[in-house]
Amino acid sequence: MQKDFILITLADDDEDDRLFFTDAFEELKINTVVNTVNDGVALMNFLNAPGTVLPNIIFLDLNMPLKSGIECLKEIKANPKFKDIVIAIYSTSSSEEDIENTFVLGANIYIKKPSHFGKLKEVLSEVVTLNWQYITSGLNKDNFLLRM
Amino acid sequence: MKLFLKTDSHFLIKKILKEKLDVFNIKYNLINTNEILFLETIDTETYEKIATVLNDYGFEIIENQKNIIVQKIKETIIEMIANDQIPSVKSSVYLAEKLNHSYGYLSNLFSEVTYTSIENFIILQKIEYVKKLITHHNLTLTEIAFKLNYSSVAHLSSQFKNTTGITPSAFQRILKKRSEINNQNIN
Amino acid sequence: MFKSKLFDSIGFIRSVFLIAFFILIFLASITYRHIKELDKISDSIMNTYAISIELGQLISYIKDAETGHRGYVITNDSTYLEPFINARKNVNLTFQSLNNTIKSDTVKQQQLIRIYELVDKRFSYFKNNFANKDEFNTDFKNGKMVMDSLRSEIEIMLSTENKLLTTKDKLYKYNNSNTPLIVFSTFLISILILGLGYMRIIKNYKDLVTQNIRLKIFDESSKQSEILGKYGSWLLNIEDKSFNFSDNTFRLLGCKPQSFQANLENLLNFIHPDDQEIFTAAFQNIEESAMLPLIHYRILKKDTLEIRHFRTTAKIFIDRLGNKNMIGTTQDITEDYNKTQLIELRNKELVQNNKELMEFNHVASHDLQEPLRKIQTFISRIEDREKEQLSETAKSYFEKIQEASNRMRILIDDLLQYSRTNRSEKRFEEVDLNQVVSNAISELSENISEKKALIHFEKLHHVQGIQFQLEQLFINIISNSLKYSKTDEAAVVDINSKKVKAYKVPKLKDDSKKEYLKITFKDNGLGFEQEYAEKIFLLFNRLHGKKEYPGTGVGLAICKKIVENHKGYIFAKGKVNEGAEFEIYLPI
Repeated sequence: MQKDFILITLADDDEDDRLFFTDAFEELKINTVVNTVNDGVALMNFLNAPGTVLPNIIFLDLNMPLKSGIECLKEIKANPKFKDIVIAIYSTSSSEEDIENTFVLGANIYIKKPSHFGKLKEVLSEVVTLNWQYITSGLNKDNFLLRM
Repeated sequence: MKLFLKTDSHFLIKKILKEKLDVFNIKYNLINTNEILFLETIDTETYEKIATVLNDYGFEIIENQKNIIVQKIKETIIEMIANDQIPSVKSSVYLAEKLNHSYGYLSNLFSEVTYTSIENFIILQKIEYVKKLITHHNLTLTEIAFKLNYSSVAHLSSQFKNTTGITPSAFQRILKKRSEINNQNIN
Repeated sequence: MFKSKLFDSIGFIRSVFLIAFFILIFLASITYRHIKELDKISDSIMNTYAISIELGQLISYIKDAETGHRGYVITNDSTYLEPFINARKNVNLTFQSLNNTIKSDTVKQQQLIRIYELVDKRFSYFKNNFANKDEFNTDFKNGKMVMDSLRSEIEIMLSTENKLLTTKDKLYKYNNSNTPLIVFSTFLISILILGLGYMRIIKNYKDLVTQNIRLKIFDESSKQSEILGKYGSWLLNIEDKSFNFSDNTFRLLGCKPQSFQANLENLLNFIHPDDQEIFTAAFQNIEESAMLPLIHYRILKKDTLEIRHFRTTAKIFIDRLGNKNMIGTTQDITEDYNKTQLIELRNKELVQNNKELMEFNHVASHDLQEPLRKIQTFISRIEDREKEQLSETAKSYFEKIQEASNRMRILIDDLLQYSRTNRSEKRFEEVDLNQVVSNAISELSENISEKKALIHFEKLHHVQGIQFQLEQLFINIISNSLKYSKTDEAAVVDINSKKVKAYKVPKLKDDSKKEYLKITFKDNGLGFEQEYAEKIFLLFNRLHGKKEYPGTGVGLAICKKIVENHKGYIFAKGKVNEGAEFEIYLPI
């Protein structure tokens, strides 16, 4: 079973948030490999690099310097190479407009960053398992919309 | 002295697999370097032998018996929902009867492999089916609630919201806007 | 209005006089005809008399001739023959005059001819010498017979004449008796009509005088109002292009009344060079369009040399005499213009300020979230792992920190939500309120089951609105009811909706027939004093202590904001310990 891991990439400029994120996955004991990048530009460079194994899920902070989460989302969605990647928005904002807008632009998941570590773990666990369902049960990824 | 080698891992894997599998005298197809299709049934003994032989070379059989059962559970549930055969008996009883295992066994197995419960999976599948009906068949929520045996639209609506975090109408709106954007891009 | 009445009465007078005129002509013609008739009748009467006299004369002449003849025959004295000879002469004369009189009457002429023949025959029996007595006797006898038939003939003629005379006499009398009556009555009628006309003229004259007075007053007051209202009127004759400015028009331009020749060229000298084009262009098409469009332009006032803003409009007016005039009004709107400029500026500032405030509110609450979330997350991590290692004091401080940060979280969330109800794009769509309630209930499901609350709703209407805002509205109101529910009684919230007309609900202060959807939320909770009914919608306003009922006082303020976003109204009614009722009116 060791090889059934899920590749996860987080793009967030906030060091503490990256820490919470990786810590949460460590504690979750789901087979995941998490790598993090510090901003949108770094994310796109990583994705476009020739040797990169593409992640299953990208967690995108919306508010990042250099290249915002929305810009990354648009770029990723415009490139057919990335069509299998599930995009999870990972943001402080809970504005209905932001949420709907990112969904319309092709995001699958919208997570409002929780203010409790336990809650964060719950949320991430649910996202990963649901994503697993989509991969293993042949569900239509176009219909994959989840708001946490 | 140094030697510089060039290998074709693909070729190598195929060669090893062929050598090892031909010993068992079973008809098979090498679909890929990571996928083998056996053209006849194999007993557990042979299965174990094959597993050990391949394991020596660093191959691990991913698809195992548990996965097969889980897959069967999933298929049964999907079929049950897609055929509008929401059983009058509890789905747990239905599954146990269909798959010839106790529900407790199935449930544990399912959770172990998929990190989720059968109940959640059923709800998820139902909601996915609702999504499909909304997007592809243009059914109204009232019609869908009736078709899927929900007690009320409100119940359907709240289950949808609880599962996906958004309301069915928001879902409908988002998909509509998405297709509008896609159409614009095509034009 | 009075003008048309005046013209009407002129028409009336004209017709009165026309009628009187025709009546008089009629009268004159009747009189003339009557006199003519009478003339004719008296002529024929005279005629008849003349005929009768002549006929009598004729008989007497014949008798004279007879007597004369007899005398001569008896005496043989020729002096007796003289009347006989004269008689013959006179008879002829009489016949001649008779013939003249009855020239036109053939019947009478034939009668006369017969009489003449008889007379002739009679005379033929007058002989001077008779051969014998027999001859004399026969002649005499024959003469008497002729004489008799002559007499009867004349008698007949006389009698017809007499008969004629009596009928004519009767007609004459009749005519004489009727004529004066007709003439007099028609005369009276015409006097009456003329009198009526006169009265009307007098009345109109009086009206005219009063109207003239009124017109003078009006003229004076309009002169005053022109000065006060800073406007001037003018008249342009379309044919000869001559202008006529009111006194105040001159004053507006900074000149003494009527101090220069009023025409377009002289007027153009006052107008700001940049606006001259607008001005002349507007005057170019006045004849086709029959009006001068409203134009705004600036002028340079002659006396004070300040720039003023003017506004002019005019309309073509064709009077009763067919003169084509343009009546125009020019107003000095400088003060209004300046005020509007100021208001616009203030408005812009206000909008800007408001926007900045909202932006500040949003950014503040949004950006405050970030560090707070980290604080809370770190707190949760300590709580999970390290809390047990803390000293008791540190533990209690830690709990205080936790409480405070939780409260701050609620405050920021509410504030953010409040600012968001203003910021979000107002996308209206048809919203099913049943759906809204369902979503609200599922959102609040935990809270509802915890309080064992019952949310009743009848079949609700659809409304045009912003779906998620309406959901927020319902959630806030229901959760308010749940929060202030009684501890010893299950909370019940009744929701229903009905359509109402604005004028039937006085508190909307809208007398129109506009339709509103009235949504009522009624609970059985703690209620509140009616005097706080308006206060509860104010931001950060709370009726209870933080300890008893935690909250920020933002929830109902958000409700008010949402209802206002929908151009609706929200009212609260409360009675302590009996429950609260919220009424929401949303335009349909």
